[in-house]
Amino acid sequence: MKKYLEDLENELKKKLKANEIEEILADHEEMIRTALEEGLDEDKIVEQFGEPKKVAEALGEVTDDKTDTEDAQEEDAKKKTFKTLATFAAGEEPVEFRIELANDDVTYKKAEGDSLRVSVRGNADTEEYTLAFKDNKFVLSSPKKSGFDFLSFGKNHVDFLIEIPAGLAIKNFFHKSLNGDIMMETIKTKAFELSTVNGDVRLRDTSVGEARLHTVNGDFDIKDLQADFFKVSLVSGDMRIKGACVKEDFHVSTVSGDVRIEDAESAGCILHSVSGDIEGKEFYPDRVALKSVSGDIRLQNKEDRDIRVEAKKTVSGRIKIRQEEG
Amino acid sequence: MNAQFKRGIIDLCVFSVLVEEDMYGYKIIRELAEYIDVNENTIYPILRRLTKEGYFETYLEESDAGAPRKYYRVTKKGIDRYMRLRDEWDAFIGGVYRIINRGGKKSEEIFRRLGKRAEEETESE
Repeated sequence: MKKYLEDLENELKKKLKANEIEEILADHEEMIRTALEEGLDEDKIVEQFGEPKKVAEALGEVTDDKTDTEDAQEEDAKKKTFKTLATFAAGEEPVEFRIELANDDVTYKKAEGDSLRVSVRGNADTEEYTLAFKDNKFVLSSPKKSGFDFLSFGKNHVDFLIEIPAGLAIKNFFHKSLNGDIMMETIKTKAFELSTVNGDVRLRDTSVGEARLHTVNGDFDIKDLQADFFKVSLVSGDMRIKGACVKEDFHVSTVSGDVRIEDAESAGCILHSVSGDIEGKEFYPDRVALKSVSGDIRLQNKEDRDIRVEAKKTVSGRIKIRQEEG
Repeated sequence: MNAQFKRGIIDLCVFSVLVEEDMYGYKIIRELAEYIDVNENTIYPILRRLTKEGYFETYLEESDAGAPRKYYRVTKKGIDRYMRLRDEWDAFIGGVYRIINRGGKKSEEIFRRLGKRAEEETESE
């Protein structure tokens, strides 16, 4: 063992700093000692732990990467501000948005001027992205990965800022994301479809016709929503809505995510849960259909308004609709 | 195998072992070596890299054998990373699995047909 450690030290000296060498040697001494205790033959050390030269090479790479780690990149990204990537003149005709991204975050905001502007932040390599606005269709999508680099995160993460002029009519808004978060402010659209796997979604002051939202693990945080029809499905992500007015059906289904609805009105309301809890506060649908397996559903209101219960079914959860006393 | 791809998978394996319990270096390597062809020289640099990147932290604990051992523990950041790696992997392997089993029951027939063709080709050689 002594000989091996000495050889390793000599090799490490060619590549690394003293404090690192010390640590690596201590780690190897510990590992080799444990291996010997567990019956490794002294002659087999090199075979099992590798030629000192190769070990040093492998470790040299780790250190060389240091300036290039994701941490450093993330730090850099934070420091940088948004840079305009493209601007498009917005026409009179209603447009369609289609966004499909893997890990990239997007913030949608109302533009100051009349043009649609896309900006990016971070060490953004956006060359391989599709970004276009033509025939009244706006498209943004991350490159389809080829080969096996799908497991390398961080390197391909872009922060997008999309500014949409207030006068632009949107007929169809579609955003699909894997891990990227979505933030939206003051957006108005007719059809609205949003789905994420792990990405979180934050909507503020949104006015939509028909909305369909879906997430697996992401959380939804919605404030001030107006919709004709609103349907959300969650697997394990949670949802919070505060301030919503839905003309027709308000439909929520969750597997294990918890849902909280506050200050909301709707015509119909369908709430389904497997094991997640659904809580409504100042939530006044005209009629409700409630179904759960083991999750609790509770509506608690101050005002005594009529809520027609069309269906109420649970296996082991509790369902309660009540008016607060006083 | 593509180096980047392999590295991602081994990272995931190291995470998977460590999210279960804290472990010292040699034990982690043995746990993995039981199932896949890796050794100290593959895993140790990974442990070092992931620690440097803040996904693991280390602490010393006395062992029965005497000298203290360095234990690795997954940090909050590491857990997030693990979840993401895991999701990506599940999505990828799930997709692969669906592709290779596309035939469903038909695949038995496909295997039979391929087997027969292989036989015929060997015969004609």
